[in-house]
Formats: sequence, C-alpha cells, structure tokens
Amino acid sequence: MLSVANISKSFYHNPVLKNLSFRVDDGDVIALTGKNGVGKSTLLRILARISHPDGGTVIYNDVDIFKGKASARRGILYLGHEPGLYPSLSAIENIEFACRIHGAFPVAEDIIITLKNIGLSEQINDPIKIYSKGMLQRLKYALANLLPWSILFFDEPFSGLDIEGKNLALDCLNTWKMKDRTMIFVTHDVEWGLSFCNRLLLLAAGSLKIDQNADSIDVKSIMSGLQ
Amino acid sequence: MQRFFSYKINFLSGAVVLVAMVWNIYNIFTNTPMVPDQHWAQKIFYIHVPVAWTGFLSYFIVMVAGILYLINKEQKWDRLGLAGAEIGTLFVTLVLITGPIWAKPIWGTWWTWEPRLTTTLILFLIYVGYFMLRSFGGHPERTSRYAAVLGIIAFIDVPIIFYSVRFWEVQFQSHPQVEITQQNSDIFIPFLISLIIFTMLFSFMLRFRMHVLKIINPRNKLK
Amino acid sequence: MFWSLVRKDLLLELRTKEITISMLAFGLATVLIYALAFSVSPAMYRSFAPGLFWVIILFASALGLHRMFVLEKEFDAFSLSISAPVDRGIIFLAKWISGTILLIISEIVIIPPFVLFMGLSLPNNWLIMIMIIIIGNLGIMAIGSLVSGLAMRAKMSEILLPILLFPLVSPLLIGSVKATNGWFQGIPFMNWQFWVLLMITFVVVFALLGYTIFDHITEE
Repeated sequence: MLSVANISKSFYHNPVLKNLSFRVDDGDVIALTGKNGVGKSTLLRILARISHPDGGTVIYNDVDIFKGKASARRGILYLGHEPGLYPSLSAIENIEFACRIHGAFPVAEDIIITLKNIGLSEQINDPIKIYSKGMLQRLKYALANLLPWSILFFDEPFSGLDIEGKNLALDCLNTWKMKDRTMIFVTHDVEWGLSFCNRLLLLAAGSLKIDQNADSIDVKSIMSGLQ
Repeated sequence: MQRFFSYKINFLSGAVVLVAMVWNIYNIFTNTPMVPDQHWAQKIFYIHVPVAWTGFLSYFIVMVAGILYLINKEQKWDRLGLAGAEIGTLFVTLVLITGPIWAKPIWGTWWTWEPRLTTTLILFLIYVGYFMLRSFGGHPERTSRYAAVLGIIAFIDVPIIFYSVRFWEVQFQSHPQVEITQQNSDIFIPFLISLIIFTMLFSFMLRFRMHVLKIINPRNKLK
Repeated sequence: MFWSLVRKDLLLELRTKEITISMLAFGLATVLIYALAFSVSPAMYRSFAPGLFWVIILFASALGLHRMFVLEKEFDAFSLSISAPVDRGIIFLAKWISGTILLIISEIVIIPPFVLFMGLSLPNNWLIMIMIIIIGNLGIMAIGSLVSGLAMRAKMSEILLPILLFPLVSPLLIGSVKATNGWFQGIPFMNWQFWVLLMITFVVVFALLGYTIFDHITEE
C-alpha cells in the first residue's frame, strides 16, 4: 500500500533522515519508535505530505504522493502531535470541515453520537481552545471514527489521556485492528507497541535500525537502540 | 575542489574580461562622440544601459533557475538562483547610482521617476525582500524552494510593473536616447561593444560566484 | 472542496472577527491620522484622495493577510488542509476569495468615514467605483495570498510580508489609483480604461500563477 524509498531530510544542513526505506502492506499495524528528537514525527509528516523531503519517494497505491494529483492521496489520515484543528471553531464545526475536505458528508447526529461515545458530550458547540489536552486527544479519535481512511498516521496515540480516555482509545484501536485497518503509530510506549502492533520500526541516527515483525524482536536490541 | 583560478580556463577568461573592460572604459572616454547639450554626462549611457540590461538578464536567470529547481530539485539551480540574485542586485544598484549621476547634469535633479529607472527601483526592492526571505525564511532546505518561487513571481511581475510606470505620469519622459538602434553607428557600435563586454563580465562573475557557493561547506558556518 | 475551504475561512472570521476588526480599526485609525496630518484645503484632498484611499487599503490588507495565515498556524491547523486530498491550488484560490470578501466587508466600514473626513463629494455612478474596488481587492489578495504563503513560516513574518508585498503590488496600486482618480474627476471611461485593463491583467496573472505554484510553498 505504501512504499517509502530513500527519504532524506535535513535541517540547517544537519541530516535527520538518511535514505530511509520501508514498506507498508495492507493490514500492517506499525509502531515507529526511537529517542526524542530522532525524526519520527518528521517522518510521519513527510508521509502525510506536510513536510517536504530533500530526496526520495513515497508511493501510495502506486502513485508518488509528491508528484501525483491530490485526489490520489484519498484515504490517508494524519493525526499529529498538535491538535491539527482550528481553536476558534467548535468540535462539530471542525469535524464537519475535516470530513468535507476528506470527501465525507457526515450527518450531524452521527457526529454527536461519536463525540458522546468518546466522552465528549459536553461543550461540543464551544470553541476547542477551551479543551484540555486530553479532550483534544479524544477529539482526534472521534475524527478517525467519522472519516473514511485506508491508512492512519497517528503521532502519540495516548498523549494527554487519563485512564478513562486511554481505555476509550484502546477500544477504538482494537476495533480498527480487528477490521484489519492499516496504521502507523509514533510511540514511546515500546511495551504497548510490541503487544499491539505486528511490526516495529526503530529510528536511530537517521536510519531504521530495526524493521521487524513484533513477535521476532529481541527486546534487548530495542533498548540498546533507544540508549 | 580546487580554487577557481587554478583552473586554466577561469584564469584565462578572467584575464580576458579584465583587459576587455579596461579597454572598454578607455574606448568610451576617447572614441565616442560628444553629444551636444550633454557632453561628458552622456558617457554614462555606455555603462548605465549595459549594466541595466545585464541586471535584468540576471533576474531572468533567477526566474529560470527557480523553475528548474522546482522541477528537479538539483542544488546547482539553487546556487544559480542565489548567484544570479546577488549579481543582479549588485548591477541594479549600480543602475540606481549611475541614473542620478546622469540625471543631475541633464535635468537638474538627482532623482526622476523615469519609467525604466522606477521599474529598476521596484525590482531592487523586491530583491531586498528576496534576501530577507533567504535569511529569515527558515532552514535553507526550505528557503531554497521559497526563494525559487519568489524569483519566478518577481520576474513575471516585471512587464506589468514596466507598463504601469510607463504610462503613470506623462511628464516623466524616458531617458534621452530612447531608441538605441536608431542611433548612428558612432554611438551604436561602442554601445554594442560595451554591452557585450559587460555581459562577459556578468557571466564571469556568475561562474565565479557559483563556484564559491559550491565549495563553501555550509556546516562550517554553524560552528 | 473550494466552497468548504471558503466557508471555513468565513466561519472562522465570524467566530473570531480578528481579520475584519484589525483591517477596519487600522483603516479608521489611518484615516484619522491622515486627516490630522494633512489638514489642507478640500481641493487638495480631492486630488490626493484616490492615492490615500488605496494606500490605506493596502496597509490594512497587509495586516489582514498576516492574521489570515496566523490563524492557520495556531494548533497546527494548516496541516489538516494540506494533508487532506485537496489540490493545493484550490487552497490558494479559497484564501484568495475569502480574503477578498473580508477586505470588502472592512471597506464598507472604512469608506464612509474616509469620505466624510476628507470632505469629498462623490460622482453618481457608484457602480463603476464598486467594480474598481472589487478588482483592486482581488489583485491585492491574489498576490497577497501567494506572498503570505511564503512569509507564513518565516521569522518576523509580520515585517517580511509587507516588505515582499508592497513592491510586487505596485503596478496594481498605480492602476487602482489612476482608475479611481479617473472616476472621481469625472473623466470619461475611455481615457482611463487602460488602467482597469492593467488591473484585470494583474489579477488574472497572479491568480493563475498562485494556483499553479502554491503547492511548492505549502510544505515545511
């Protein structure tokens, strides 16, 4: 589904990603891990076409995402570290806009029900700038439940969530996994990554030191990669 | 990579350009006719106009380099764009200096809103913005892209700018000697020679600057 | 897609009112300052009113454009639009049109005090002036949206934006002032139609260029 080849990215001539390559097949659930500042979020933003690589290609469904038409990127959903929504608009308005530009037309009732299921039944008409970090994180799950996506890029899925929020999140994630959805998570929770995902990628010094199925990984090598 | 002048061709072409330019200045002062009413001030024309043309040529090259950089992202196009912008701005600054020097004896004022001079001033200001964008636009990998886009926007604006200032105020006549090709050959031939020599100088400076940009190790700047 | 984007921009403005308020408050303050600084005869006001008007609009637009793109940077909201399967050129067109609409709304508030403080008496055929204003606004917003895309991620973007915008927009400024002056002085349209054509050329060139090239300046 996704084929990443020789991606390079530098900032102020310091290379952060060096000739990175990997494949993502249908149904893969991938944990992308590594030390702070190693470039995991940058890589995800390149895959979502928010950041521009200095070299390399990203092929999604046989189309180069940097050269092809925008409509060829239909099905990619990026949920970043930041909210990625408009602080002055309400939860409903943000979701409506996000759905429309992804080609979906949800009914208002569906949005409200989804928000309720994720624990956001109050303040759904208030601007989201009043939301706490945890509420903003839950909003991302609501968005992912309403938008049609084929591949999900999720940066820190549990960031800011309390216990209840984390349980709701795990419910969503498990549901998606059971439906064989393709997902890539940037996470620091290696334990969860190994238990939930079927593949783990370890990014260190600009390249993928580990790219293996989760069940065949030696935990020691991960820990040394994270030192 | 070696120093620029250790390549024989560069040394030779540098020497040729230097000799040609010295001869050109000499030629302008001794072999060109004195135009009535303008006398010595008119001689600036043989420098002012070639410098203006090469300045605009330089900016045209910046636009082309920008387009090529956006298409295939090769660093050499970015270097060409930057070198062209620097040299173009240098030449355009010379135009803005020689213009008043020419205008003062003829029209009695230092500055005049003559259409081509005004267009040059506007273009100069656009390029001030270009260098600010290169400096403050973020990491160099991004500013290369953004500068390429600005170089394209700038040159596409040039014809519109020119036509707007040309018909702007009727009393601001064009420089004397507007129709260069209609001048007699006493003036036209030295002008053409000067134009060719300034273009040679421009191309030499461009190659030199591109060479320097290539061998500068950007990482040294950060230390 | 296009209308979703425009609707989003206008909805954002309805909630925050940041753009129109900043443009219109700045416009009014500038009108006052000019009226105080240049206290001259009504005849003199008549002769430089067109120029003054467009300078005020240009300065207000620079403020408005800056705000428009700052709103996209908050909470990294822009990443939503650019990671979606939306043609980047359409994003440019939406910014262009919504910016023009917001500028026109601000002008509705700026123009009456301007006319009042300058003591101007306007010709009757308002429709032509409205046309000139709309074309001028489209031009400012076309080049403005393009340049804002460049300045958006830069340091000192509030300074960089006007520095880039003003020289680039100068032919449009000249054309708008000339056309406004022609209308204002009651000169027959034939004599100043060249300027309207110049303005339209500017709008078409930069709208097309923006649509084509915006893709290259959206990514980090």
